[in-house]
Amino acid sequence: MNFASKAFFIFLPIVLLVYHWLPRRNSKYRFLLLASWIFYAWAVPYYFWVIIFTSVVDYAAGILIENASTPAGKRRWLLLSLVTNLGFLAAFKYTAFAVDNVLTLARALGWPDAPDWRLDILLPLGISFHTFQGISYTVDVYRGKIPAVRRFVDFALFVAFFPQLVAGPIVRAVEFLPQLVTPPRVTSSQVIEGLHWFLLGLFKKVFIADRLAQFVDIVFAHPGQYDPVTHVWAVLAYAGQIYCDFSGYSDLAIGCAKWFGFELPRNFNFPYLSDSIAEFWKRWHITLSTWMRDYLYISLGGSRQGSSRTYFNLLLTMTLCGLWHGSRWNYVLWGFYNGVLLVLHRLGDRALTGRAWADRLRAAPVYRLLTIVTTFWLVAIGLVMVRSQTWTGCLLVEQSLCGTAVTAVAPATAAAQRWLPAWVPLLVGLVAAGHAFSGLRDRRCGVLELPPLVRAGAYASAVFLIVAFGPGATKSFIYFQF
Amino acid sequence: MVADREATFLRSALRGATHSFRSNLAVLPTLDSLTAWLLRYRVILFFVIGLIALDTVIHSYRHVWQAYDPDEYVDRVAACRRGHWDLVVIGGSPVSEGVDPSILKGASWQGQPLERVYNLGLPGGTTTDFWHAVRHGVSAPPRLLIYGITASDLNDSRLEPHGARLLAFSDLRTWARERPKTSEWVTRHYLEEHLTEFWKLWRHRNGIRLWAADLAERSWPGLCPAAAEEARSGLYYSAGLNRGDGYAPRVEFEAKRLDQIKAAGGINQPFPFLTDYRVGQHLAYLHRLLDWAARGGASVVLVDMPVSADLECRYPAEFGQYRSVLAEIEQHRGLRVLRANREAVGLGDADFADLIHLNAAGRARFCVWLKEKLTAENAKSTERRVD
Repeated sequence: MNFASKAFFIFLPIVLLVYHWLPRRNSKYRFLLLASWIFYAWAVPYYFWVIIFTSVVDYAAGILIENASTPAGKRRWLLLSLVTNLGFLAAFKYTAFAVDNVLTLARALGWPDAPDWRLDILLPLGISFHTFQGISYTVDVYRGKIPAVRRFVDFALFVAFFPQLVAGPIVRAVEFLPQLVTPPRVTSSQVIEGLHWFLLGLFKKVFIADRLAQFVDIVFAHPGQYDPVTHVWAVLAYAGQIYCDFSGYSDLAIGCAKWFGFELPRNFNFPYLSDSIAEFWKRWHITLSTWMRDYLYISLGGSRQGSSRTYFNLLLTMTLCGLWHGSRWNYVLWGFYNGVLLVLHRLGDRALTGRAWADRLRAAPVYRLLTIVTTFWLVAIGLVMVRSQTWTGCLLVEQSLCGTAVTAVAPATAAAQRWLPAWVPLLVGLVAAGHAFSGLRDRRCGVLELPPLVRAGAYASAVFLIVAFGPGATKSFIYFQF
Repeated sequence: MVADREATFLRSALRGATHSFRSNLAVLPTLDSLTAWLLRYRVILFFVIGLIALDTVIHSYRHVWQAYDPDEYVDRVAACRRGHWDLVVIGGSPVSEGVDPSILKGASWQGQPLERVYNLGLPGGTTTDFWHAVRHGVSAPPRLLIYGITASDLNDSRLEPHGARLLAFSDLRTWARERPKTSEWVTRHYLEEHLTEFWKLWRHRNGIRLWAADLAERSWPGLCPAAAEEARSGLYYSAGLNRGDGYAPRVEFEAKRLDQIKAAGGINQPFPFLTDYRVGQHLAYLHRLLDWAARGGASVVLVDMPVSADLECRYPAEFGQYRSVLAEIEQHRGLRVLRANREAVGLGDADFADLIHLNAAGRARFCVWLKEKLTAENAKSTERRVD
């Protein structure tokens, strides 16, 4: 079920009404779990067993880890959970990719009769997200950070809680499970803030992301038909689209969760204001990057085993992060590219730290502005790798972004035209204004600080713009595919 | 006694539920703290008031939005209901595009000229929709009712959502009773269409978008040319609908020619309206229409509308089934069916805008043929009466 679909706008009020009408904690949570499972099974009912199976395995593994008397015993049950979750993820998400690559390799190595299989496996909803939640739970129990959950309903609800089920935020057990212990009560600020985040998410998704997609899709489908200026605007528009799409989903999830009395972690913090790539990953998809740090990078040894091992760990973590985003070489390259940028940043940071002139330079506002622009440009180069449909198209747009297109591909793009609908700069400007209005002042959202009457006016205007100017048929959230 | 026990049980259940609701949701007020509650939730209160105010403003300017985005079904039916007509022509888009009332005007029927002619063609409709349009749009039976029928009107695989706007609750009940397999579909669309009326912003969203696009394009040319073009097309269509005889041909069909489209290799567009062809349930509504006309004393003529040769070649079985059904109706109900095939009317590919719609030239030729045919039919029936 899509948050921006009609079905969801019928589903949500019904679930909210029944949830708050039910008298006791247990009945509320049982009902919420049932609603979450319905939400999960809505689109592809025959994958319902996947979430049930992984929930049962992780629930049992948590208890068995806690009950095991020896470290080896604990490790065995942890392994069961890891193999189950990663096995499902690999089977559904990477089988087609692996088979395709093996066959391509076989053909390249002189087996021309290799079968031309094109596997098209439909992903179970949110599998990348709920498997990571399951892993984080069993690892935390193994590390002794949290006790194992004894009530299956509580654990299953942690995995399947519908606002965050499909596209995050990736909630940790330590963040969510304690909220189940206290009686579910919704405060007035949660109701109002829920409305705020819900409308903000919907506005970002429907009014900005879906509109920008109409421009981005066309340019990236045939980049050879457009000139370098159009390419640059398409990249800016895609940066705005993916941010508004994904952070919009997170905002919707956070808003929805508040109406049920739950707090979900923040997933974005104005990432395009980052002044380094390291900071970008602290502001972009925060719950994924911290998950990668805590359960992969640190498990690999983190920065405790010397410089070269640290750089290797960084590269491996980011490459796997890229692979998590999608089973295509584009994503692997994008992850590796980000790893390289992080390594370079770390090297540069090490070299400059402690030097007085470097500290003075870093303190200058102009330098900060320059680093923000540079970081955004580096991020944009990475986004092109993800968005391009062909390597040729990718190269063409990258050249435009690097300012080399005029000379490098002039003959190929001699007939290329400039196409820039006026609303594209307006919407890109709106994303930039949002960053400036709240992010530069270090606020979570500046609208929350406005007087009540102005806030209400802003919400009503947002509804007006969403309904009247959002595209008729809402596209699926980009992060659903991950 | 039993009633008392039930009442007591209901009261206590209600009290319990209310209590649990209040104790679990800290947002509900008690009467003595209403002011504090309103103060706490003033953002939401102002927001709701803002939405209501917005809806009121939108409703008061509805004529503006409707001019850009007319509700063609409702507008056509409403305009038809306001007048008294000698001749009403019903059918789908072949009728709405292909029948010009000004040409048919003056045709003689039962010794008297047909002066007031209305085109009640509903683009994309089915026979079921046409029956509902007649039921709600024709206040007094006309002297002559022409149904410009074609094969796709009777295809039971077609369920067209815009038809739900014409349904009254009694129509919904009848549908649900007679066609249980599609009762969920029709109920959903009925509710969707009718609930839309309660939220004017949603109802007029497309009109508002087109109005804004038109305004923006006038102020800053080049800002949104595609949407502005759509807005102008909407205004043109709306002006046509308001002309009074229901005739509002789409500007895009006027000059297009099928022969040119074929020469450019563009004939392969899909035609989904005849896929999975089944006749039965829509046909029942045709009989209902004929019964209604018989009760009101209106003459009915079915006109088998002309379609392109390519369409008939693509769906020979479907057209065969449709024509046998038509012959059966003609025989059993004693109806007059005018077969406006291409040869009879003198139409070629140059007279079609696409596979099924006539262009301006084809329409003129077809309407003149139809007028002559009606006059000839009139002469025959007059002769029969004299005999």
